[in-house]
Amino acid sequence: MIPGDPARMALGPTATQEMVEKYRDKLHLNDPIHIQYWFFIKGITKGDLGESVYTKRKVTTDVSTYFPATLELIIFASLIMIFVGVPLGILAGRFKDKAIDNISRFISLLGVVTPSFVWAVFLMIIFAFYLDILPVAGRLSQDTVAPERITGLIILDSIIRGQFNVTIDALKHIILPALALSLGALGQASRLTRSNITEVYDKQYIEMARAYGYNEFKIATKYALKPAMIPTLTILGLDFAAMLGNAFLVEFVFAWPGIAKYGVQAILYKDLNAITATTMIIATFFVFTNLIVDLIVAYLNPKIRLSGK
Amino acid sequence: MKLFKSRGWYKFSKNPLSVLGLLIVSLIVLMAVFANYLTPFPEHAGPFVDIPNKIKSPSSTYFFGTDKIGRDSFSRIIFGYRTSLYLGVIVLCIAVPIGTSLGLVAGYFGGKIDAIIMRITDIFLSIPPLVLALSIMAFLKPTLTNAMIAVSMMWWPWYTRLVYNLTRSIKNEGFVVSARIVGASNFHIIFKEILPNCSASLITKITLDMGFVILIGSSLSFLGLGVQPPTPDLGTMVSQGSKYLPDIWWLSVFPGLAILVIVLGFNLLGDGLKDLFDVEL
Amino acid sequence: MYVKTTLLNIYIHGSVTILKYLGGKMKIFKINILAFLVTSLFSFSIFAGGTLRLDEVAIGEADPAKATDFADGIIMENVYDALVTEPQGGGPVIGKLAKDWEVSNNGTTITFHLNENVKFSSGNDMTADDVVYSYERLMGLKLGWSYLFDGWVKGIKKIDNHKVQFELNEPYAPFMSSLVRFYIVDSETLKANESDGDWGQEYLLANSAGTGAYSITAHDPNVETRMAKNNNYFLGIAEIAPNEAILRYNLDAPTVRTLISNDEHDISSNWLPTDVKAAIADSGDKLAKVVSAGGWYFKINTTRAPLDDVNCRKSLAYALDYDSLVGTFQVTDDIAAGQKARGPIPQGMIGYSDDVPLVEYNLDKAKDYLSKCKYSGDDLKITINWIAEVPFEESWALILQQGAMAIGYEASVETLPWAVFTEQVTKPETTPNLSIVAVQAQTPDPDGLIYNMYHSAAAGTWQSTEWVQDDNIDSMLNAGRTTIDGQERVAIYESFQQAIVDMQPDLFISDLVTVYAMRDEINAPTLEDSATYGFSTMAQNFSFRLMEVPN
Repeated sequence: MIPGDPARMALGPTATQEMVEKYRDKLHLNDPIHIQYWFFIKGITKGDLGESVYTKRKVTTDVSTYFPATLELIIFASLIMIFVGVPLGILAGRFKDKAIDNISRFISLLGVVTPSFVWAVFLMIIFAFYLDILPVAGRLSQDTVAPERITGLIILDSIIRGQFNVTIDALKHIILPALALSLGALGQASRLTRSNITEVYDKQYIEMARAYGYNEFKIATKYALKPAMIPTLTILGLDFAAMLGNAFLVEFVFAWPGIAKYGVQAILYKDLNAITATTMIIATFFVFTNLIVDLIVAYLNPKIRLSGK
Repeated sequence: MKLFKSRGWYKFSKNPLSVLGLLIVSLIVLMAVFANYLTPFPEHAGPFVDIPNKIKSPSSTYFFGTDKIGRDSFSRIIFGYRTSLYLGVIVLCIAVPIGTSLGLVAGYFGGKIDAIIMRITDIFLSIPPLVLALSIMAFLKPTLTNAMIAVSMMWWPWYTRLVYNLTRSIKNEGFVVSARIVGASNFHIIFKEILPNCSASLITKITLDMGFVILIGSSLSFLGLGVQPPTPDLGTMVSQGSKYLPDIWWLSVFPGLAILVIVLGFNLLGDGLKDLFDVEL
Repeated sequence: MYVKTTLLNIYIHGSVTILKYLGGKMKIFKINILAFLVTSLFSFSIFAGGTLRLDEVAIGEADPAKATDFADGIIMENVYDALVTEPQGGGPVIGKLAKDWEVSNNGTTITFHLNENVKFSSGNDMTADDVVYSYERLMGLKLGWSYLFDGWVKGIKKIDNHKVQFELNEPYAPFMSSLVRFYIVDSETLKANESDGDWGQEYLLANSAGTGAYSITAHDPNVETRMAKNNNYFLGIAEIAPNEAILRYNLDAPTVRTLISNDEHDISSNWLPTDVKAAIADSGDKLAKVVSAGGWYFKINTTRAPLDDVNCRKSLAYALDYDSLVGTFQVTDDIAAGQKARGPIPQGMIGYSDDVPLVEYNLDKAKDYLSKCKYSGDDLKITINWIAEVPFEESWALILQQGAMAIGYEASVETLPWAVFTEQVTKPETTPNLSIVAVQAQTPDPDGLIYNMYHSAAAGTWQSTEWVQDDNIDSMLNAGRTTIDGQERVAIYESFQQAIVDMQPDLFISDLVTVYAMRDEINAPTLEDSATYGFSTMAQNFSFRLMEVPN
């Protein structure tokens, strides 16, 4: 199915046919696909995902090098999405059809219709070139040494190790890619929050609360927000996972050394082990995110929480 | 069609954004179809090299400047729209019939068929679209045709889900029940009674999706996994142009804006249709 | 480190420089100047060259038995040493790890006397055992540059601790120049780090075991290789030579462009788009032009229709608009990244001759040849492939496409990433009709360029996508190898050049001229005046120890 011979790519142009065959045997490439799969599963149980023909290292080494960079980017983008998108949506819902609502609508529309790589290019031109206030690419400046690895998330590691100058440098580098990654989801999040908030505000119990003379802030935080957040959260979870797809695009523009860039290289190199590992990471990440979202929703929604009892 | 009956049009035209969407879409479609006559340099879409005029900044001759071999960006963007629309139409032509018929079958018959089809649909829906397309492209040679296949593969479930929900509610409506009582065949009921009642939702969703399919298609070609150069394509142009930043900005900014505009157009138009038909998606 | 050294510079140059810096790009450091002035006092003790930062296309191979690419060559030339080397400015090889050598009368036994004061970065002494081990390792893995020796070398043996002897099967003229690609590794370290007879491959994924002027401190084949200066290098190393070098992989053009103008990157790769190089030169940094032993070729797959007919190939040669090609070489008014080629052997190399006429763009002649070709009409379908990592190749592909279509071909242009391309060309049926490839001599000898391209035994690599299977060509190449007499070799290669031009297995784009954008403060005579100080061996111009990187 895959055009191209990974063994040949791994060994390079000067390898003899005999060596290629030997390498194919070593990688089990000569076996039928279900046998290959069996070896793969056997490998997983031993924590071994095989060797990447592209980097010629263990795939597990590669993944643990590149995945934290992507995770950091996605987490940061999600923070922007939640802490900008949701409040914007709440405001828009509270002040329906006022200026803030229109602004939020405009942002969300732009966010939805613009691919993240176009955002990346625009943001790069404005902030990195024209204003020249943020770095162009990478995770750290040339002269900044990454903190000794704990989690692989440079921002977190540098805080733990107390190297705050590294933290600041890393933050500067992550702003643009994270923003480019989050703008699409941000718009969606704010629109969703808005529509759920307006729906909740139309409910009778809000009117009842008003009638009791509760102040607006208490109504908003205590009675409106929680039910409005439940459907929003589910979608946010989906967005969080979808960012992994868009990370492929953003990492390319900002030369971010993450799993997505690794994944695309793997695709181009027909690097089966690396492709499988990348896909697995994405799938695991996806399942995990959905699980967390489900737990939070269950916590917020008594109907789900109590239904088992 | 309903849209052009005076009352519908009146309702539609009251929202300036919907009209803007319609304008953008019709303009782009028109330009793309008649690109050979409407662009200043139609030959620049094909094999064409003009080294003395390479890397010229935007001017009255070259509205959006020229690229590294002297081709007019404006002309190529219009031809890029043609590629995008082509991709969008083909993908939806594959995805919509497949998705719709599965949705109809699952919704109408229920039971085991329902369970099987809808579980598969759920699996596909749970994977982020771009990730799915990328993993399909991992096993295919990067070409326009394969990109279309990959995007179609991820698009049909949305139609299954939509049509499934519609079918489930329509099938208990009086006219369907009475058709069944008079002994109409399942085929007749599905295609003559239920499907026409899904059409408003379908048309709206297709319009909205046209934009998003184009967006995903351009993302694939941006990564080098879709349309291959020198075929004019917006994603490829952004990707190639971004190598020349910041000095030669016009090679990436204009194609980027072009993607934004076409997706925006379909989005606004789709929203307008949604209000007009009063459908939920 | 960079901050520290930058400020050391400020300290030395006094307040005028400080003011200049304040007004310039280094705004961020403004506040910290005072603090750094204090720290910089302490840095005096380590006064030395700064950090050199350059980039290449991934991946960087750090194992001397696997290296073949340009990026690999850069690592090899700095981290490892060979027995011999080309002298600066070119010429026959001179000793490096070897002090001198004796060749037996029939030319098949070569005995090397090794330098005695050479140490590996581990501190181990370099001895004859290491040389023997290195050769066994190279042939045991049979990758990389092993093909230069495979079949020609009968054996190697240790005579004493500082004496080794090579035994050849028959006289092999390019042997000495091939040895520049035979890098000596630290046998003790590798044996200590060997697992299941892997020749220490695992260890060399992230470490080095050489005698070179630099040693690897960190290596990620996809991201960067960091190398630190070895102050005890046996040939000596200048203080001003870079203290550390960072070879970064797959940097995007805008990144390189911005980093260089922000003084955060020193030397670009050659693959940077021409117009970006021009932009860098425009904004005050410099360009270095290196004429290398090699060329750019449209390599024609001579086994697939319609280009298995020489007349069809000739028709394309005349349909190529050379003026447009030359237009794409022009980086600035004074610097052109190319010069028209006459044949496979570039100007300056043995075998080059002005007598071979330059082909001119002539559509009538092209049509003439096409009418003599046995294919016509629908059979005239060709694809032109360019390498995805090298965007300027696309222009050339399109120039040829335009010409080919003008005379009746149905020509399409495709692109493949390098790694996929190198795999596709291992079979004639998957090798594109035409592929644009740059080939540089692997060794300082014409044999190191053309044998790999045209000998039937070498077919099936990215260097030989022509799939030439021609007895006459083979015998000329063999004669070139076994003939020791210099004059005779020149004659052989001159007639070879003509034979290839007649056969037209390639369209010759240009001699290999590489252009690097460089930060103004860097001095690299090997790149900036390569005719005097440089080397023709691939990547040897990137010997960091010959560069000057001020703090």
